[in-house]
Amino acid sequence: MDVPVTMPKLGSTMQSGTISRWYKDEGATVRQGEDLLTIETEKISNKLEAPRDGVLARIVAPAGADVTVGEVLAVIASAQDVPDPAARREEPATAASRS
Amino acid sequence: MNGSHAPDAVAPELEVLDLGRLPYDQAVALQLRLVEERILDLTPDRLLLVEHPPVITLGTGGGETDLLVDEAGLGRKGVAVVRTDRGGKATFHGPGQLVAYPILRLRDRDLHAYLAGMLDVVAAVLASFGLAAEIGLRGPGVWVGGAKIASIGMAVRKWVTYHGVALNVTTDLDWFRLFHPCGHPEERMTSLARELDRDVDPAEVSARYVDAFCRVFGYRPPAAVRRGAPGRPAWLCVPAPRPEASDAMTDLLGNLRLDTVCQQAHCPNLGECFNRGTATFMILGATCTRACRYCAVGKGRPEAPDPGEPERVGRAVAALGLRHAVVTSVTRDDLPDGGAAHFAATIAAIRRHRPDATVEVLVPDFAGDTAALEQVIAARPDVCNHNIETVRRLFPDIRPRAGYDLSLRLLGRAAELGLSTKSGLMLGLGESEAEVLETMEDLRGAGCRSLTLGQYLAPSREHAPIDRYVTPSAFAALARTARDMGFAGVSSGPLVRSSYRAEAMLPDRP
Repeated sequence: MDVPVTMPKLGSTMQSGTISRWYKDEGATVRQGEDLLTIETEKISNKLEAPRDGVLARIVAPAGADVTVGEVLAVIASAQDVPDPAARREEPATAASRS
Repeated sequence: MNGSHAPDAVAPELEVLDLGRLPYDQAVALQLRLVEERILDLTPDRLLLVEHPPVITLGTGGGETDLLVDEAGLGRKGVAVVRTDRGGKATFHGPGQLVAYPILRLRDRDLHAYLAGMLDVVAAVLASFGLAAEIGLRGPGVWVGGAKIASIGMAVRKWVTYHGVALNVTTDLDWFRLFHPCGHPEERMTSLARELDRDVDPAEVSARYVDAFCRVFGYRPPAAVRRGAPGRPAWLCVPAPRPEASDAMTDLLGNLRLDTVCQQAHCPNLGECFNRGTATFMILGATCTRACRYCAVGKGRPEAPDPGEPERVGRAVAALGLRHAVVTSVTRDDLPDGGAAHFAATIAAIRRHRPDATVEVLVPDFAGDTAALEQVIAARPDVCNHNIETVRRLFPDIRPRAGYDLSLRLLGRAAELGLSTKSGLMLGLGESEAEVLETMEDLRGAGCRSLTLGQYLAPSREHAPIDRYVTPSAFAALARTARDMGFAGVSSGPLVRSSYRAEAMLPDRP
């Protein structure tokens, strides 16, 4: 089952937030409570934790994106929905290698 | 730092930041910040890539006597001279040079192995262009055909590295005629472009450098290179509030129609405090008659005070089971007593609803009206807090229509009347350390017992900009100084706010 991660409202006046960093790559296994991403608002950066165990199936909002409160940032799938998370995790590193 | 081996699945992460062109002194300030982040283990190892505008830097080995043109003359040629804390003597940085500053934790605590690795990286880049590197011909550095192509200068703090290496790619070599490079008058300089006798794309050299760096030091090749300066420091990153905890607090406050400065000032600690079931009440409305340049609270013409508000604050303190209640307000220049009676009524209401709680008031300056202050004090709060906010020089700009000495007098009067007083400063508005110390002395002179020091964070682009980020270790050093000056309660750190964990700073109860 897919669970969306949405832009939280971190203050009464917050309209949107900027993604400053993802701690996990697409395809990586995540555990509930692990650091998932950092969101920058006017005064402070907030670290968001993974809401459940699973696989970070899709990053919808990449680092640098400004996202309105409530919009989807990523999708976390159950580990069994993704056949081989270990193989998928290798992808970004291999693709970026310049050697 | 595992020596030379191929990257594998368990290889550590390296974050690569391409800063583009950045003046040397700004790059040093940034490195010191990133070193502190690395020491605190808030970030992975990092590699900074940068190009500097023309500058001659002098290391801890001196080099003043190696300048062939005096500093004024160099200035006219557009070359800055900067003294720095890296090892070595004079060197030049400028356009067409790849400068790499690794911010690495040396796990093996071996500076010599690190130096050797840094030179190996340059040698590998040169080899990829078909050039044979000569290492250590006349001191640390890299030469090609007897001419120097790369200079190295390192520094380390708590086993985290900074400074680094400069490789001439397309650098105009005439710059090096202005001084004796690394103290060697006979030194001949060269560049990749000269050795290859063709134009070289600096981006290509950077990419090969990152590649070689990861290979030599055993890092996983980075998925992406981050462009531009990094955002705010990692120590200004806090866990997001748990929605259920902050919703419960928001509901309670909403039902009682109460404002908090936590919400109105966009406080970075809101999540932590709301999770812990505490908040700072803001009475007398959410509209301020002043227009201070650091503050997010709305400005304009406020409404009449709500006579039911003190009672509701008392009920909220009881409902939240607070042991220590902090009450603040906007500045009400429109009211004859500045809102003093409302403060007094709120203190009394808290006492009725929760007799065991201690009460701290964070008062405005009442425009210097001593009678107003005395009215608040007559209600016997446990702590009288009034923030000076900034140093004397910046005060008129940051707090127009307030007064530095007026605030000191208010604190002095409260102390005279036997109250435990407290004040705070925001750092990062453009003040110098000497000015901070002077203000701390002024506060002690006014009998101030407790002090809070925190990082100024601009609520928006319309507010005063942040001049600098003060590091956690600098805050810790100021805290030690404050205690030496005689402050009994001191809270100092990037995210410290006036009422942050205020109960921990209370004097012992009689």
